[in-house]
Amino acid sequence: MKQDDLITKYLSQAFNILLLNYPLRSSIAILFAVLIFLGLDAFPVLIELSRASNSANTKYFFSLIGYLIVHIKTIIDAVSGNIISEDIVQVINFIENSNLSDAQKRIHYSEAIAARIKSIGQKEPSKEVSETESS
Amino acid sequence: MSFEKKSMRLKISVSILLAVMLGMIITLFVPEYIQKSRIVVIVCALIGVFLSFALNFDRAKNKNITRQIEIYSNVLKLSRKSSKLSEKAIISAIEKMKFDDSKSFYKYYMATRDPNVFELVEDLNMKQILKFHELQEEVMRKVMILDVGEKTKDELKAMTVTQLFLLEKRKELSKAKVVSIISAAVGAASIYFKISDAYFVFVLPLIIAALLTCFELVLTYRVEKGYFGANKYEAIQLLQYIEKNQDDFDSDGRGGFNRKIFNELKQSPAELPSSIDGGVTL
Repeated sequence: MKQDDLITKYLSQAFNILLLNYPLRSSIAILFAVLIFLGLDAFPVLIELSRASNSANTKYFFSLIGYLIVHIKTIIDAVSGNIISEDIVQVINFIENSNLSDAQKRIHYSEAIAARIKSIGQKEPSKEVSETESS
Repeated sequence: MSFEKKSMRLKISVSILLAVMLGMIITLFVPEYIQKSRIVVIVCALIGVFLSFALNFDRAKNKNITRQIEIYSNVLKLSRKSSKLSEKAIISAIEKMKFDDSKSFYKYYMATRDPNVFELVEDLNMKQILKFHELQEEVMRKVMILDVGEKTKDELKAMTVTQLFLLEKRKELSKAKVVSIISAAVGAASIYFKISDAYFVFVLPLIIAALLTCFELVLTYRVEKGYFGANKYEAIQLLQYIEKNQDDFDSDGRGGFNRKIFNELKQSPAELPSSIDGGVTL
């Protein structure tokens, strides 16, 4: 593997982890957190209602909870993990763990993705047919 | 002319926004005794001069071609409705013809529209006028024949899966950047009006915006170099993208089965990615 390939690969992985894989969702979540923090700052009554001590830590806690509430869908996805089917993940794991060179791995990855696209194209008409039959 | 006006309006609004942001930062972070001295004024003036130079440089570079596009699109508006897509066809026609004297063509064009201005044309040769006529006709013919929608469809078909993924991702990232900058502005306003005194509400969204920008740069680099997708995590990301947008990848959509998956690897290490100018545009 080339040097810049490795560096950019690790960088993009780091960014993905920091943004929890959904950049738009996490930026909206941060907007929520900021709004909650400001709301608690502007109306201290809210803290007294929740029977917590009026300190900075409470505000941070509530804004963190707001952040996590926006990310609920991400968490559900991570736990259930059924975004893509298991078979392809197995194939990809097999390619990753095999003893091939990088160029060969690249070819195999592209073949796997192309096969997936083909299978999608073949599934589409059958779905429509089943829908029309049922209706 | 409308093209230039639009870009000018954009530049003015951007500069006003920048000025507001600078003022906010200075009032927030710089201590008061420095604010009252003239150093801040000088620094702001220097930044403004630098920015205006940069903008003007960019403008001078693009001035000629934008002028030509305007002229040709004006010509086209006479006959049929021209959209932004037809401008693409016009650009390619201009590039093929290597037509450089746009000013005199504009004069001639104005004269043909309004007979009172015909005096302007006197300083042109008969040959030049003939040439302009030919060019005009050729452009018209090309645009009439070319179905522009078909052309863009072909361009999309020629793109690889990773490039489509990059397009989608960049749209998402730009939206995320806008949202984070809005939240930064909210935080800064709250600090200014003394609702809150925690700087994290202002600094954290700015850090997120910077992260998003870096992420976009890294992604475009990887895709344009052809590295993207050739490892486990990125292959899974691509598969997720395909799963979400299934309609784009069946035979009737913008793709078809024969689409390439990855960009080709660029062998020469000195070559820089030309993503923003050439390949992928939003």
